[in-house]
Amino acid sequence: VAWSVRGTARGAADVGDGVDERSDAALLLASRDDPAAFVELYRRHAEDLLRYFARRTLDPEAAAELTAETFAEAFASRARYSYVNGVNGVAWLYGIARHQLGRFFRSGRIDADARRKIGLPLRELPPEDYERIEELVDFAPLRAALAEALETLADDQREALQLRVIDGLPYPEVATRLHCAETAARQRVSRGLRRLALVLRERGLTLAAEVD
Amino acid sequence: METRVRFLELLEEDFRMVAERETARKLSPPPRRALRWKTWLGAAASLLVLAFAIGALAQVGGRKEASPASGGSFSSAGAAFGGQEPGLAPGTIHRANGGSSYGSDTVAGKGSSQGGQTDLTKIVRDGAIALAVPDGTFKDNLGRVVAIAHTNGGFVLTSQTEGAATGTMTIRVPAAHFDRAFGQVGQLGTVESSSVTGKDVTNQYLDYRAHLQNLVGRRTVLRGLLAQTTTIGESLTVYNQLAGVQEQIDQLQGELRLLNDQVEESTLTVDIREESAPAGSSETNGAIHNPSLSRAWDRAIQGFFGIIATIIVGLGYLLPVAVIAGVVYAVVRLARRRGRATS
Repeated sequence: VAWSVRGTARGAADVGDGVDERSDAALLLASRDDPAAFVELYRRHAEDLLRYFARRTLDPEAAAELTAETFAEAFASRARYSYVNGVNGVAWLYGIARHQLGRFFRSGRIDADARRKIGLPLRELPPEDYERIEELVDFAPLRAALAEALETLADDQREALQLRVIDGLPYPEVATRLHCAETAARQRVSRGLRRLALVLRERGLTLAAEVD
Repeated sequence: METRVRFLELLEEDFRMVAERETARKLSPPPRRALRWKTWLGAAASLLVLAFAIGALAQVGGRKEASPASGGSFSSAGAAFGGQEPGLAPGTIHRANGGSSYGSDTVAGKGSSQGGQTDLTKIVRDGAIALAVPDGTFKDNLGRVVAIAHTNGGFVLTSQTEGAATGTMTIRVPAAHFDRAFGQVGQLGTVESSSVTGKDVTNQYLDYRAHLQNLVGRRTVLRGLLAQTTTIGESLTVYNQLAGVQEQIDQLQGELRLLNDQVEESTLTVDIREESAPAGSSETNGAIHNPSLSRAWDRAIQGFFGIIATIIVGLGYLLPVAVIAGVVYAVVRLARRRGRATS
């Protein structure tokens, strides 16, 4: 399929009442000359990508950072995207996401190179987003596998995860039970989940959430 | 975007900002890249080299104008700063032309051929000249003497400077160009004294040649006798005589070679001093063969200031060019601005 970059990309721009009907590929191609088109691509796929990362890392902080870094990388390298290769826009985006995820699992940390390159601010996850991201993931199917892997964690992380993920308590209640601040409780759960995801991956366990 | 995750909303705002920034960057002309220090350094070095080149060319040009009687062009700007021709080590001879060659068994000698007859007249001509030059032109005139030597197919035999105002240079030029070189050197300044000596060595030369011819004939006979000897005693006797003759032949060939060199190339000793410098302070050859640390230091200082002076001369040439270029640039910019304002 040959793709007319400029003609198609601009020709199908905003239609009707502000809804951009261009395809993901068209948006990516148009974003070379009109960077604002990339924002539309972000609006379409940001939450799905966040869910994708959260289900695999079990860590809201890591998922948020990986989402930001993936979109930043896509923005920085959008000039290299070519529909002629038969890769549609969303597949290209998730290719970058898989690459980022692989690096995260290998190194245990998340790069910020692409964000720095394009001048994107490095943001921390707002407190209220921890629960919202967990809601996106729906940890219920994971509970059986988590119970087995919890034994491998440090006591404080396991206790935090037990209260939050298995018992399903809200963070204020978790903080009260752990005798710590709510922020500390969130971080303890977040880091415990990150550790848990790594352990599960090392053991070759398949999370039910990843099947979704 | 419909989401309950605040982080994603903030991220969308961030991407919107990045996109706007990129759009603005695409629309605005590319910013002029700040010149880094390396660029400035390179530009300054280039300017200095250019100024030096122009300064050196200017000085060579000045020498041409100062010596209208010279038969050729000055091919070297050397010896203007160091008191000695660059590349000319003390005691070494730099030839501009090839020298004479002699066959091992031939009778050395070279005469001028006129009307089918060989002129065997051999005259050794040497000269000396003492010049007073204007203050501040000593180095330039030293370089001009070098150029005169080269122009006339000769070379600098020795060079010595005392301070920055007096010096002596001995040059060798082909005898045929001696008069011309002598005249050219004499025009460099006020001639305080001069002398030309001519020594007729024709008889000596002819004697050497005749003797050499006899010895060569004797050697031929002895070689024939050596072949006819039948005993060891006879062979040794003839061989000893042959060795003696060969030695005499070698000596005579050396004498003839020396005579020919003296005849074919004349020596001209040039004493130069600036008018304010005391007369008779220069000593021929002394500094060259007895170098000292202080003299080397003096030369280094002279060389340093010589380079600086040359660069300053070059900058003097460049300055008006830079001013003109600046005016032209300003006019062009003004015209463009007015053109934009009108449109």
